Amino acid sequence: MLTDLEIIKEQIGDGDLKAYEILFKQLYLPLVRFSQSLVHEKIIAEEIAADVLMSVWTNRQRISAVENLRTYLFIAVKNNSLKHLARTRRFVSLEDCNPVAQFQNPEGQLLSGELYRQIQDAIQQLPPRCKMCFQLVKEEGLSYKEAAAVLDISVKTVDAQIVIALKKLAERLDSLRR
Amino acid sequence: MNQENFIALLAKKLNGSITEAESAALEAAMNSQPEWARQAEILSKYWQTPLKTEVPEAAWLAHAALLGQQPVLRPAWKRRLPAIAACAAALLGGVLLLQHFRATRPAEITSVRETGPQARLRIVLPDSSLVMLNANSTLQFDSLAFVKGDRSVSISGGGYFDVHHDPRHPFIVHLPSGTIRVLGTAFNINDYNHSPEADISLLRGKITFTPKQATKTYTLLPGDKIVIRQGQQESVANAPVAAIAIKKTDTVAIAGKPYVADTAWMQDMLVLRNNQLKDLVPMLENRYGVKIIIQDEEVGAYSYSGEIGNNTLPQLLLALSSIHPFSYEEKGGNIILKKL
Repeated sequence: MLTDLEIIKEQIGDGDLKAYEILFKQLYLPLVRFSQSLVHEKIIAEEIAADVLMSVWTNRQRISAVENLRTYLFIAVKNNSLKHLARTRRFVSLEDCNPVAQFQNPEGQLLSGELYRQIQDAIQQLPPRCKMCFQLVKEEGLSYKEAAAVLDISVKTVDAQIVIALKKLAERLDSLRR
Repeated sequence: MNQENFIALLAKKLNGSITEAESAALEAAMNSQPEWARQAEILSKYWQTPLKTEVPEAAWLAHAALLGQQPVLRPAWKRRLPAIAACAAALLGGVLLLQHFRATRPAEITSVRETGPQARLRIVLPDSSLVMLNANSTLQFDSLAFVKGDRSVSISGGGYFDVHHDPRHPFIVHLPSGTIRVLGTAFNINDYNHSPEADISLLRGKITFTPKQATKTYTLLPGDKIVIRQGQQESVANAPVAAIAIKKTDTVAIAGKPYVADTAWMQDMLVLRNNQLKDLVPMLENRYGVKIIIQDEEVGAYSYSGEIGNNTLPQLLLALSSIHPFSYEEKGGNIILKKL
């Protein structure tokens, strides 16, 4: 779980490197994953995530103006990922879009390996927008409001997409039983 | 309860927004349907299995080593991250999803920005052109096409455009009453669907305007204002044809400073010094996207000194009428000011 980002933000604003370390360690991998689901290249995704985080440190005097640091970082990563795509003329296509599943590194297993794999596979079949919502909400722990801000859609849409995702997963569980 | 409702409740439970009553309903549903209970258990467990977020110490140390160094040979876009994030966040927003849906649902490519009755919106388009959208207006554009160089937007209502100069990619604005073609300029639009009259004022550069159902194209030079009045004449085919007039933009002197009346709505703060209410009407109409009718000359002659900040129209009317008393009411989208 994330510790209070509000406090971390204030501490970074005061030039506390330790606070920045906590921020980096908490959000680096989620931001890499999010970028990677757009740019599809791990090295580029790592560079974008590191750059965005570093800009927080470089501009720490102005960081208090940021309302929600986590949303801000995800949006910045999204914009830079899209910029990268625009520059390289590689647009996200339906076939290419692969959020979530290339990161099968859960921390501790509550479910059996096969069941977990089946669910992952069902997530792969979700429509892109649905998958993207699911990645941000479930995998990266964003609130509906935060995910909505990052994807520039309404909270209602996020809600609907999560329900669609869960329905598809339930259907997969249904079919496994038969 | 059907499966749809069950899943909706489960989603609420997982995101922690479930109420007590809903929780009880979910329990009851699971008791009546063992299969649902099984699914809920598996999905809850899956939901609680987090992805790894722990960063290897080495990665942090490598990152920390770079802190405080001036970036070397980094492209300009990286150095402007905060600005990019702040300005472009909302605007590039749609692009990602839009790209996804391009293959299947072309109708969803468009980004739509709308303003309510008292809101103004500053929009930076993907080509870095600036749009100030006035109240009660809608702007639509295709972010992906913009990135590819097809610069075309649709607007209904009022807006001020400062178009990024790019001779190779003409910038096209579709209005309810016609089409504007530009290279790099600044101009103001007033074309609300409910109003029979539309106008376009050019501040700098050059634009051409082609009215709907017309073959003639008008060229505007700086300081020109084109006024389009719908349904003035009947054409041979019986379709109403707009009456077109080219005028000069009006300037108002407010506190000794000249403002183009058509764009004064954009100023966040206007300082008034002995300005008569009737002279302020065009600016206020633009600013708030309403029609203001002064019924008594005496009211129009009231003079005001002070500042108009980011007030809503009701706040402003209350303030103005408490200095010099007058009554005001809204009737069919018009604000009518009367002597008390």
